[in-house]
Amino acid sequence: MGRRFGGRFSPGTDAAPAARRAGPKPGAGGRARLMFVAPLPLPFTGFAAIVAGDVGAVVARFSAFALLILAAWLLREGLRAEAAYRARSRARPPALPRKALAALLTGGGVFLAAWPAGSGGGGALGLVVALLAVLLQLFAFGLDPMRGKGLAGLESMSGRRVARAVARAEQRLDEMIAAAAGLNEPALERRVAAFADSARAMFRQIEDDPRDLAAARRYLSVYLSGARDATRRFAGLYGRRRDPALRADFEALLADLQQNFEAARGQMLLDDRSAFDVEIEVLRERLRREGVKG
Amino acid sequence: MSFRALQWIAFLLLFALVLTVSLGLLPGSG
Repeated sequence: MGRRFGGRFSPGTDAAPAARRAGPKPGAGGRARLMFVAPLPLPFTGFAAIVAGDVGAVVARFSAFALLILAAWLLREGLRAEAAYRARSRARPPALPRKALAALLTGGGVFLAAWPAGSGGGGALGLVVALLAVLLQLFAFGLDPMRGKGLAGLESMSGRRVARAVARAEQRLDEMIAAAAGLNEPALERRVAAFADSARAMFRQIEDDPRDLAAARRYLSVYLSGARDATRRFAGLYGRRRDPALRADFEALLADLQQNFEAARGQMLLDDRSAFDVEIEVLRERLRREGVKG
Repeated sequence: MSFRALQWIAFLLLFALVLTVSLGLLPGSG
């Protein structure tokens, strides 16, 4: 089935601003970019080695270039991950220690780049220089965040609680999708699927950070149940009589719900609990009205 | 001298080092 294109950074999604806020910290980003510049002479000296017919040097130069560019890229990614880590009050450490890996790759690249022309081995100078490069990079850019923050003592217990809550929420979502599928209306199914995507994005976020569950519990239970019941009621009514006004109402409700889920997700990232509660009130009011009408 | 300043110096040294090695300026290389 065709689906409208739309992702996390598409216009009209609320997630984009939050993601943009998590950019690399100023200064380090520029320095990371310069790390792409430093190895740029290597391809040229590599071509010089081709002209000179020095096979060992050709391989060393181009491999060194690849390693150093890869290192610079990993460093940039690592800095981004670190910025995202800093932007959150509770976070897991990045799965891959990108900055440390980048330092090692820089060392490897420098060692290869220092490979003496016309000889078989790297020599002591190359090793020393490579080690120096690793140490300098580790010091200049620091290590990756290695520990989760704000998760102490919560991990196992709340992890299980989150898994249960998310499983129940997934079930409600599935029932909602099934109810909409009974209508044989692809446009409506897409609409419901889009809402389900938003809800699932929230699930993933709660799984990433179980402490969001406290704030999101009402979304997972009350509002998802409400959305499911509204969908069933709508499916029942609309199945008997294809009333465009009814359909417009339902679509507006879905749009509202989705917007609220997205907003709630953004606010979870920011831990802005007060604004969150206002949104909940608005949403509850809306569902109450729908319940009376439907 | 602050830690950040030291980090900057380390970065400049690293940059110079990588550039030097890349240009093949080490004795015996390039």
